[in-house]
Amino acid sequence: MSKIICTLDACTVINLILIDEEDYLLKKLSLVDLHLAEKVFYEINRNISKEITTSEYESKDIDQVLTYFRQKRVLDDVITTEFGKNYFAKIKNITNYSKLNGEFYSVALSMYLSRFKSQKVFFYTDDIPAKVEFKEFYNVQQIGHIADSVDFLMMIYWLDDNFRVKELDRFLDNLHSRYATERKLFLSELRAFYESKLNERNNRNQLKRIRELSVIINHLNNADYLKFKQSFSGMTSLYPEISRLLKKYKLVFESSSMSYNITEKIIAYREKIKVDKIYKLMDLCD
Amino acid sequence: MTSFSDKFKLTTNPFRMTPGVQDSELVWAGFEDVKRRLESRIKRSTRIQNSSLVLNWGEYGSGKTHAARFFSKNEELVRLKVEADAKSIPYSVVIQLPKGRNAVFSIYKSIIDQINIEKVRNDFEGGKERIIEFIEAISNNNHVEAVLKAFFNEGVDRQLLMKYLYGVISNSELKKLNEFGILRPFDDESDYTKFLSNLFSCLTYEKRIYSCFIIWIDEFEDISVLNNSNIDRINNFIREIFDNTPNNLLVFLNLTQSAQISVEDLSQYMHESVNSRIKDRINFELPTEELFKNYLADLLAQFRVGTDTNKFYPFDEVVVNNIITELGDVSLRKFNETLSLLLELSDLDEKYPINMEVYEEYRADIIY
Repeated sequence: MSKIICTLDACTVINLILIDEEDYLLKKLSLVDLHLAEKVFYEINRNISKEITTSEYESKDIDQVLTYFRQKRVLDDVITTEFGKNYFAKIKNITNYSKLNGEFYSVALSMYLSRFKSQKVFFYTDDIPAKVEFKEFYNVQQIGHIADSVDFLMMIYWLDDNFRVKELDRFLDNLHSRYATERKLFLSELRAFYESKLNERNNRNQLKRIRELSVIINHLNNADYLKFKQSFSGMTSLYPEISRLLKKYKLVFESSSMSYNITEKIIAYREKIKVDKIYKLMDLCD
Repeated sequence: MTSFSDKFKLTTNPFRMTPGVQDSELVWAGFEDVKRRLESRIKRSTRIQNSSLVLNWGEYGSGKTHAARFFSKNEELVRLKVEADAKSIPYSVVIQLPKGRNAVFSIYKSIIDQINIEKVRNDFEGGKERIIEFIEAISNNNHVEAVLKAFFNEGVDRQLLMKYLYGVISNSELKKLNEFGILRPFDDESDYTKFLSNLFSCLTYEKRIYSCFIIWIDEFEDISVLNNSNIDRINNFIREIFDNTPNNLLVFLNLTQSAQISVEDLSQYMHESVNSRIKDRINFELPTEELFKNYLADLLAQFRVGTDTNKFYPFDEVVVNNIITELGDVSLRKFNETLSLLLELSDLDEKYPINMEVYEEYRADIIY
């Protein structure tokens, strides 16, 4: 039986690494036919050290994990050798997507894999805005499906007879904690930034900007993430230095959209798996 | 240009917008009820043996962190010891609830960071033999016993011992500690918990040197962002610390209420074995008008230069009343922010005292 073809985005891979316990999930990745875009691996390599403190991971552990993902990398040259050197420019044109980031290259890789292997491809990303942006392209081109870490964990669960519901719940819990912690850390840094601006204010013009920042922080404090996102986008023009926080806490911004919030999905799915059985192959046999 | 103190009869801008760090910045103003309740808890712990767990809860900016730092000042600990007629002062540390995976090790490290081995050894110099006897009596673990004895032993190199306690000692350095009975590193949560609880007991032995050990755990609301495994770890740690330190330990949990977690939600994150140990819940409630005004008068008095018949000088009382009404239900931090801003604007524009005319001019800038 052929395996399900998957590509993972950098944020999804980093989430999996951080929520994993003793390589439990890493070992399960052999259940799928996993591919990573070259750019995605580059992003993982660049960002993983910022996410992991030395007290939590030994450097040799993370090297082993990265070695595994390096083996799943598909070099851009491999694709352009088959489809020509203009392939990525073509995809950029078709998708009308302006950034050359991991999400873009994952989509390009998915297209390549779907046509080359004549199979549907699952692309897993926790960048919800990117997911929304590429959804139509995926559907129209019949490449496959775009989903997120929650969906990936659910799929791994039913693929593996030994993966128990209790363990699935534990990893969903770890994933929820990851997002909740990032949000909390972001709120703390944003407050500290606000307080530093309070101390710096020495003219009336600054007061207006500080007032706006205070309102934005209140949205986050009140867990009103939609209002927060809507109002935060104007902040970088008022405080250019805040773009550092935007980059550092990308996860907070990418985890929700107008109609979707990954932490709410995790909570909902954790409830669902208590009530609804997720059927594995053997569950369906008499 | 007239000086700040001449204009406003204040030594400096007294309105802090973040909790102070240096002792000179840590003053207490108003809020007598909360102060009295915290003092009562601390004084009780200096006099009686029973260990206690207390929950402090309130909105963001209500003064919980400030309380932790204020009551950890040596000057305050001495005052409380005198008022309680206790044998000795408490040892107080302030830590934050960790958010990472190794929660127990993080708590352990934060506490060790604030214990000065050199000072402790000096303090216990006269009673070395008694403390050794005590360690042998309370410890049921040879390894922890050996480490504790080394802690109080001047003959054990302090730097080496600190490396050991932080878990960064090399194998060759560990060999130097073998003669003191230390044969292996601490390697699990049980080691950290046992060591800490026995250390607390030693430090407060017969209340001779320290009457009690106080731990303020700040940002306790962060328990809601942890996964179940770490929530269990935190609960187990608290339960075991109290099980193994039945005497002379006082723990304050500072919990900030928010949209994510309220004090009612706490039972979701706290095991019954820990919840049931909470002796008192102190509410750092949103201040009423009266509380705000008492606070303001008291604070200004502590920074006063000279005298004034108006206890709110440089603010007219009618301005204070208006600010309180306009702000509505806000935290103390917000109140401080507003008054600080008003004072700064007045200072910039040389407009004082701050009457209604001045207030109206700045109102749109400061009320939001």
